[in-house]
Amino acid sequence: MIKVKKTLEDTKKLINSIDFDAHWYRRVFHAFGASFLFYYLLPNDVDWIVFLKNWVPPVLVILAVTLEILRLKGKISSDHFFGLRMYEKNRVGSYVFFAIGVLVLIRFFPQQIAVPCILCACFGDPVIGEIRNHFDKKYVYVLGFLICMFFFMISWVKADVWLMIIVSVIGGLGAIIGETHKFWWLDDDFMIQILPAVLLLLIWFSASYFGLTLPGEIIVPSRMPW
Amino acid sequence: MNKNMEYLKKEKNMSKIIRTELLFAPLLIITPFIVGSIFIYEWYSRGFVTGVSSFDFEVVLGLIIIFGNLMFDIPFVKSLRRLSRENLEKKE
Repeated sequence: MIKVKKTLEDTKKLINSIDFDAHWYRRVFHAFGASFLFYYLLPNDVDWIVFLKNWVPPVLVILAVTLEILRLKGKISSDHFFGLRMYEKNRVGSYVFFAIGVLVLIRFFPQQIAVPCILCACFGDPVIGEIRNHFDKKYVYVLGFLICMFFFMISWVKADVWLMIIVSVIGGLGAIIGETHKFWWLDDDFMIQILPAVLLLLIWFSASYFGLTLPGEIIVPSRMPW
Repeated sequence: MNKNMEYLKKEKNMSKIIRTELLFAPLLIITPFIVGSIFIYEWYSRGFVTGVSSFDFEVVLGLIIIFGNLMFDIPFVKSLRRLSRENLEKKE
């Protein structure tokens, strides 16, 4: 018993001794967002799963928005929100923009557009951030564009070659513009997802007009025994 | 340091905040690996075994999720360990 108590005390001491380091925490949080792509793997023919697919994402976003409203109104202290940036103290936190972006994409965009855009936000954004921290600004644009372009390319690999090239270039450009041009009221975590998605939606609707073949579903819902 | 890169800091709540971070850490690290593995399993069982290429994207996505997360998990865990060591040394 004494040993357990001592171990607990030591652990508490160790936890309390760790300094504030939100940098990698934010990066990990971004990358973790890719787990939400599991949404597309859930089957569409099981009632209770369809119910959860319809309601869990908006409920999570409403929860995040409610927390943010309470924080901005001063009902909850900003101290309880780990990893907030200084400029987010009096502004909506970027995690809310990220969540709204993902919700909009999975609800209103075809998965062929939504999946690479979510990948750009989850991996493109933190990688671009790291490049920005370590290299010259010009590398941010070039490498950031190539990374985002890669996500669009692998997602549209089964479309017509020309369509894949056009989508990769426009998607990559949209993502890098969305990432590098942030506004006080609109976060880059939202823009990096939605700007390329809107541009690609225009291509999506006009592709059949030009006789180009669109790719089929890139993630096929699972048939696991739920 | 760029002003935009600065984080909100409050000494009095630091330990509570760090505890929150540590509690979240297993979830943030393990979940993507589980999801990535499910994508790879789906590809293996429905695509690779049956020879259907419609599931090829799922293996790519699974690998991106796993390695993409690993890329940030390693420095994250390292930073936690380093900081804890440095702080313990300072206190001693």
